[in-house]
Amino acid sequence: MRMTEKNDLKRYQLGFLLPVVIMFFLAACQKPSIDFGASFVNNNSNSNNTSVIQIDTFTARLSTVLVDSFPTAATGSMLLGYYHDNLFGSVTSSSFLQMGIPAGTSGINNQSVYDSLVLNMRINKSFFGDTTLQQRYYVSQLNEIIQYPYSTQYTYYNNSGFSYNASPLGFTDVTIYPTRGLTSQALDDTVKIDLPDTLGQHLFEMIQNVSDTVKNLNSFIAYFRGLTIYPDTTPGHSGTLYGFKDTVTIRLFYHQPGIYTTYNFIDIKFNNKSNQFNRITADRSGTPLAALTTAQASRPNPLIHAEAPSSQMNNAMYVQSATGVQGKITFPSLSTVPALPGYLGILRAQLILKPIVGTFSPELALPPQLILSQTDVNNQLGSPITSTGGVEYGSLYIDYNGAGITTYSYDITNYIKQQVTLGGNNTDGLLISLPSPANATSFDRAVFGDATNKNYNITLNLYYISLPH
Amino acid sequence: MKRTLSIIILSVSFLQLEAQTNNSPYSIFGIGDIEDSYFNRTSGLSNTGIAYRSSRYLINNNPASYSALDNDFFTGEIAGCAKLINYSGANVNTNSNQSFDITFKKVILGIKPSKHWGTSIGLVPFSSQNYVFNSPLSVNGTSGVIANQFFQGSGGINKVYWGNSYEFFHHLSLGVNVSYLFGSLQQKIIIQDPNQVELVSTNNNVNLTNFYFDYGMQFYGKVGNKWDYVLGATFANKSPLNVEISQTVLNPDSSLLYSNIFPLSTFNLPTSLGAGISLTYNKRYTLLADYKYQGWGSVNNTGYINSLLNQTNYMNYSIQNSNKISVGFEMSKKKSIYNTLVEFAYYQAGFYYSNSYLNVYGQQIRDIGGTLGVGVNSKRTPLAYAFSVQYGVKGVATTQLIQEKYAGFTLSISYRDFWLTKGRKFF
Repeated sequence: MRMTEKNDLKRYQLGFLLPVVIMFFLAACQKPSIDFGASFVNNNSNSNNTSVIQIDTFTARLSTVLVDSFPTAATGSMLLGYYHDNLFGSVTSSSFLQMGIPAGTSGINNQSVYDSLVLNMRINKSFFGDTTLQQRYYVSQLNEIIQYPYSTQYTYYNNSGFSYNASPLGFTDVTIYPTRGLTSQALDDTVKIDLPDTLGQHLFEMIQNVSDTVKNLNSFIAYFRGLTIYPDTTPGHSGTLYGFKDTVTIRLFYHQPGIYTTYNFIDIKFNNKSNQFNRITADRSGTPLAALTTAQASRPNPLIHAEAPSSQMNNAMYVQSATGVQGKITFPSLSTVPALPGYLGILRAQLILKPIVGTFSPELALPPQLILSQTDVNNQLGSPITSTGGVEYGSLYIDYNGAGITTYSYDITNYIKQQVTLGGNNTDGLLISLPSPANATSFDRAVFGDATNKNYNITLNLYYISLPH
Repeated sequence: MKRTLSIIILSVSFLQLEAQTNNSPYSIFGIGDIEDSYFNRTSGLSNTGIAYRSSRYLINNNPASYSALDNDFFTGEIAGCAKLINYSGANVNTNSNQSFDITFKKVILGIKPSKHWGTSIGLVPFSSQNYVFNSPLSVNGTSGVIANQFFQGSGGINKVYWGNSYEFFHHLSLGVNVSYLFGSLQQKIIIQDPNQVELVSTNNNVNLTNFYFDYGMQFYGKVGNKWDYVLGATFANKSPLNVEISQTVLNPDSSLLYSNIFPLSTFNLPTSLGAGISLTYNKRYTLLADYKYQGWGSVNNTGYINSLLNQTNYMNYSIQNSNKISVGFEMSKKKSIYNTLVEFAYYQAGFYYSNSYLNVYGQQIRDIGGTLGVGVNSKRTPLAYAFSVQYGVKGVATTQLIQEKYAGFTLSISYRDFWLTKGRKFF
């Protein structure tokens, strides 16, 4: 009897409890997302709710920084040429390189007869300036071996150089069609410079005699030292800068007499990529950038790169990494951002740079990529600005004909978030330069107007979160 | 008894855990949808029960009803409700316009400590908030940059009450519920970019608490041999809720951007009045009618609490007096056992028409519907089941408003047993 009562209790307790448990599990379903439209909710930012506000009235202070020297070695490209640019001045670039020992010499014997010696270099299709002009390139033998002058130096710079024989080994006049990969010498992409037979004959004899000089690399370098290839800077022989591959070859042609004469050649290839560098010089006199040269000469601390404000440079900022010219932007009033009404935090910051229309053309091209790097009053290049997608390259939108719609745009949210917290008069800045390796191999350049320039087009779009409190 | 208590405690914990999944677009306003259902025996009567007295069931429509409970019994009730809603309106996306949920609605207990004194305690919903909206947000200072605002609200106010009623002169019962209202509304606004990637979220946690008193009266008697009548009335005075709002603004990675606790404030609940009548013929056929009124129009809720509770503070929306009429008819199947009428089952129908406290875009939100109910009292166990279905229409489908057509299914389970004494059971 007792047992029955107990069982009864359990049964009705179950009847009481089971629906609860079932309800509990069914209630755990996902809430469906139903789109009710906007009529019930506020769609402007004037309420007491959190809102997003955009301001673009921050003045950017522009200046231009001149980097004293920057590495130009081992870039894989030789920059050769001279051109004049009304804005950036006259730029000359020559290249230094070292040659290795002749290869494939076993075919040469006492019957072999020397024919000729030429230097071959191949264009890499990059150029800057007017490509219709004929160029003259000289090649001279160095008086010194290419080696680091100090034990603390590990690379060569744009201002490095070695003395060379003033009378060149040879030269060539050539017109280059870079986009087609051809030259007026009709040797595909190769530019050929004839070298003197005296040199050729001498090399040939050493090879015939199996001289140690042509078998041992150090001996050969001590003998041959190296080459420099440089442009003629006189009008009619210059006006354009071209890029060449660093794989320069000296080709020695010979033949083997007999019933059937065989013609053959051996190559002396370039040696040690690290010992190839470009020497780049700029003459900025008579241009807006002359102020930079003045600033460089008069700066109190030679360790700080020279800087000239846009006010001294036609109210503009200039960028040409291959001549050491970097733009610098500072936003002195960033510290006022947290005092904006209702300010809670930066949501997004977008920097838009529009180059001055008319300062660029297909010949005087804009860099396809410009990076922003953090810097301060010392003008040292810091880490580049990144966003979630990695380094920001400016995603250039280019339009040669349109007025002012050519733009570089950057997501600098992380940088601005950090900068607004600094307070005071902000002296940190962003250096604008080409990314590596283009920074040492491309003469592409850009000009941006400052706030007093009628072509001013630098905008910092700041989106911040606001909540009245 | 111990087991029963453990069941009740378990049920309470479920009530705390349950999650609502239905969308109630109108709950974005005020303190949400104010619960006007009781999930009890009157559910099949469209909750018409101000003048309802029951010896077997807890009629929490009117605190004066507890004195009608049978002597020596202990009664416990739980209820759940399943609701299917279909939304329509010019702004509603027709591809996804339905939602369904099942929620646990109440747990209440009642006893009759003495011959004229009935008492009840319980936990029931008072209001609930549940909405999801998307809305374009214009970015200030731009010409046409648009972000997306995602509004989400959840939570609600619970009511835990202790009700007592006492019978005077066999014809009059007076009752009072002493309640504590507590709960929180979680309101979230997420600003998203046009691809719905979160940019920043603002979370308002609105805690509402206070004591609440409501009073009830029932006057009842017979007219001739066949007719019984009950006249009922309820009243609650205007009373404030203490409001504590904490606000956090979070970055997408949930790091804190800003937090604030607002000064304590109040949100006033209005004066409530209710009147009802019921007529029963031959103990079997009962006709009921209720009228309820809440004076929201004279409640002056101002200040930041109001604008925050109504995140749409620049919208055309206002609060006004609400009223509701409902009628019900019940047919009870009873048998006479040992000269005692014992109910085995009952059938109910009801109809209601209400004007809610919301006026949106110049239109007071109406809620109209009907109910059908059936109840069975178990012969072998101390359980009784009340099942009701409801169909209603709330709001109108216009360019600005949303209409909800809903179907509800309520199951209330009642358990009763002797309290203290272990006498013989009569069913």
